[in-house]
Amino acid sequence: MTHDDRDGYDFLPMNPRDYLVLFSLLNGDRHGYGIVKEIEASSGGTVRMDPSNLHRSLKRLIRDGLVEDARLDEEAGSQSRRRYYRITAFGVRVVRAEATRLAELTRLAEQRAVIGS
Amino acid sequence: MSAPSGEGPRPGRKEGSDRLLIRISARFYSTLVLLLPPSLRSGSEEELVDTFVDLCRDARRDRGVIGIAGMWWRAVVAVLGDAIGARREERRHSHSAPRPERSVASALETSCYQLRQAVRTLARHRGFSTTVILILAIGIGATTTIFSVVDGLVLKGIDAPEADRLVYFDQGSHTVPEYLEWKSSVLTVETLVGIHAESRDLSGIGNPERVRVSSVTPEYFSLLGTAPHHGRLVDQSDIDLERKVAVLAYHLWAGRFGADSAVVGRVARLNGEPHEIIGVMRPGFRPPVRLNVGNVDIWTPLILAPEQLSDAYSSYLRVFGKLQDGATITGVQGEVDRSIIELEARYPEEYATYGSRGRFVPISTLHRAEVVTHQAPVLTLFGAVSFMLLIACTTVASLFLAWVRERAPEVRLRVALGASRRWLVSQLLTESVLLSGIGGFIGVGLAYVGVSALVGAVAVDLPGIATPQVDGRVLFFATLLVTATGVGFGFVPAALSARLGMGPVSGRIGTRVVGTGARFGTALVTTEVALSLVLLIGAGLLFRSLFGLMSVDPGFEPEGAYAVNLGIEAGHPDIEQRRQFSQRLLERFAEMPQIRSAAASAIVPFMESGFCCRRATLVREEVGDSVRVAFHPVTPGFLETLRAPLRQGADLPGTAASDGVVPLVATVSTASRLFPAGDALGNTLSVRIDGGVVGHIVGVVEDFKFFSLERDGFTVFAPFDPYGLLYGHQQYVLRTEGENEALAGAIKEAIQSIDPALPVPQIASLAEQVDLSLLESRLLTGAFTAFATFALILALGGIYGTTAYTVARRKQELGVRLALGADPRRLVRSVLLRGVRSTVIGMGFGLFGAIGLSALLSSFVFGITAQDPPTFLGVTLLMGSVATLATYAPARRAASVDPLETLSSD
Repeated sequence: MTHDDRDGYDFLPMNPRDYLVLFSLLNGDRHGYGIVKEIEASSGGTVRMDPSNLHRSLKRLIRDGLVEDARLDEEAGSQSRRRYYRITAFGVRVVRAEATRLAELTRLAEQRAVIGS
Repeated sequence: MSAPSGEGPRPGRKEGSDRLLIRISARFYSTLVLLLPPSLRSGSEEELVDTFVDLCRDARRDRGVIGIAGMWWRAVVAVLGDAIGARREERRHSHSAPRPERSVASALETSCYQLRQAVRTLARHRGFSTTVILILAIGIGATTTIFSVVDGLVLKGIDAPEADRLVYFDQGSHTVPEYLEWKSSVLTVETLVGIHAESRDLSGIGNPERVRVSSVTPEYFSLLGTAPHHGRLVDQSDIDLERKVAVLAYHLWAGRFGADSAVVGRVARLNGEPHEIIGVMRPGFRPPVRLNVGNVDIWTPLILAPEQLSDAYSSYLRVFGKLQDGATITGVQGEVDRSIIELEARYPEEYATYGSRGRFVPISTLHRAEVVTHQAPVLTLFGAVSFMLLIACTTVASLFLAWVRERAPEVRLRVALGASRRWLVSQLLTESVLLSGIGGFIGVGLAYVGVSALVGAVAVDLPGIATPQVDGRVLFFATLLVTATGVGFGFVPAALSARLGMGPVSGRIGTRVVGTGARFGTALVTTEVALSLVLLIGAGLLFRSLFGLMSVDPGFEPEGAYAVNLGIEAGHPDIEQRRQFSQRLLERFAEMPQIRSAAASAIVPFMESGFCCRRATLVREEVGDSVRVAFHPVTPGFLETLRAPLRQGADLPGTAASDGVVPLVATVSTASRLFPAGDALGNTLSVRIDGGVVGHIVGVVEDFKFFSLERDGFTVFAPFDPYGLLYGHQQYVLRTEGENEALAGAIKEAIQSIDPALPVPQIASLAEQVDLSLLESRLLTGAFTAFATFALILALGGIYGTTAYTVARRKQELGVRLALGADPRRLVRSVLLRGVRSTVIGMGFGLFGAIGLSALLSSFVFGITAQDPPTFLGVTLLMGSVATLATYAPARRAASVDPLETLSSD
């Protein structure tokens, strides 16, 4: 099943966690622990995910074709039990769409001086 | 960050505690993730836990233990949130039709609704609910009670360490040479204990009293795993003829000695001999019943005098031991058999008394020997109660079925209104589980009451066996029963009803008569008849055997007879003194107006005296035949006082004739065993006792039961003088004029006028003693009467109800037939025949079942064969006539059906 012809806007607005997970995968494939750490780092330590939160997100994202299992492609040597996840092209489109939407919202907020620029 | 190496033990310990903390966290999380729905976690548990562990390590490194605590807390919140969220999400995403049952919350809601619905329905059908609850409660309660008692008596067994290694040398008592031989030559037994139980007079401290003393070898205490409450128990150093010691039973110490710990070290007298009290037994220690006569008041070391060591005539030792590790009962039996061959060679004279088949000492585990005493009645009860439960189950099942059928219109309506089949089945299941739950709950309550009542009634004299009580396993058993009956009884009718519910809302005549339901009903009637018959025949057999046992003639008239138990060895050490004592006492008794007659005897029937009767062998030299008998020395008038009917000849004379010929009165079976031609009277034979004498049969008396109504044995009576005077025990039997309140006082006075030092005698009514020996049988009969009555009512009700229901269901068909001009009498006959046919088929199966069952019952049946024809015939006839009646009543009703009414009602 290919998702490339689907419209990324179908998935908007995104669950913030799903968005963060997708976002963390933009810089390369990661395993669960890596994703949690990446999110923690990029949020400045304010978002800490429990493995079960992450797992639920990933299940959802994999089901919808936004993320895929990358373990077979890039097994990281001795870390045999690590499963790596990779964002799909469709996933990238959805992140982009969500980011655009959020940017639009941010722009609006800035325009109305709700938040400072 | 990471601890540099070579920094001493501290980091090492820290690493260790870290590793432990991480391991615990991993375990915690892997348990926690079980809360997640399977679809979310399946296959990923390991990954989840790994990630969690990694994060925990980071948290530990960054923030210490607080960090880990934070991880745990977040994990709990997150997993719970995910568990709920994922389930909700799943439901939203499932593409099939919405199924609200799959959510926990809504399933709970549905269950609550169905439970409320079930409560309402059952409250509406109060008669039905009450009946089912009562049947289940009594069935489960009785079964649990009996199971608890069986568990306590038969399954749990002896309260001793490694009780399964304790072996018992059966066949009553053994001689000292036997004990010594086994001790030295039976190598498969590690430790062997000999016990001599008897009654003695306790004096020296407080009033003189008759007590039961067990003289034991020291290993007794370690084998039975007991400990002193005060002082110490008997050990090897106490085997000393000069310095005698005694251990008090707790009840004696607490009662007679007022729980005074200073009593240890004082000297009491047993039969006049000083004994130092060295200790008090721990409370609650009750030695196995096979090892004593009744209870034990005092323990002393078993000390064997030199002349006892080679006395192969007198058997008075009870023997048990502990198996070598890995040895078997069969191994011990082999060694004991060989040892007896040795003994027979060493004591040919003594062993000749065992006759041509020789002596056989069966070996069994102590537990087995112990429970064998109680096993048969307890297991019989268990069998009966199982039958009862079986029939209770069948009755409840048929009630459910009839009920479900009755509700068929309601069910159809619900189906028509859109109830799913699944919903219907679960509703019916809820109702049946609710009913079984209530019934089971009451049943467990009944079991608690029942067990304590039964223990109070029966276990009084079951020392050494753990006191039965309702325990966890029994509750589990009951719960299992409840669940099984609930689901079992609920499911079949529910499934059936779901099928019934598929029909049209308004049934047509045809659909009501034919169909699976009707066939199932007939099958149920047949099954119930079969089961009832099996139960009734089983109950009938047990009843008959019990009543048979209760009507056994003891061979004398216990009513109005009393026994007085005296131990006079202390003040009367030799035969002459004892002779004078008994003569004077009998004279005093003869002077007392309230005593009609009196006699002395070494032992009195049905009295626990602690003194076992002597054994002798009667030999008919001319034909070479011999028989081993119980040898009872009695004074003239003993048989008359007990009203034991003489068949031939006369009573015993006062003493043995001076020519050395011993006059004997033999019981009928003893006489006919040796003299099958019936010419025993006047014949002489040789008696192997005390070196051998010549016996002369002067009378034949009706068979006499000395110990219990079940036991038969060969018995002869011999003159009290000299045989009854050899030992210090004397018992007196009295026959009185009517009831006499002051009798005990008068007897006491008479005795103390001869010897003031004698303890207050025990006076017992023989009628009570015989009654007491029947206690077990009476209880059994009482319990059986209850069970059988209940089962009979259930069975009859079941047959009547089911048959009547089958007939009632045909009401419309009968109405149509009548309307078309059928002869009412012919209709009644056809209905009757149809009903009787299924009854007859059921009885056929039932008879087969009963024959199979009677094979199992045969070991519990006394006095009759397990295939007792009168019972089989009687019960079958009863069953047949009741079933016919149960069919006839509704059949008659069917003939008076009003055709117009039935037709218009549909």
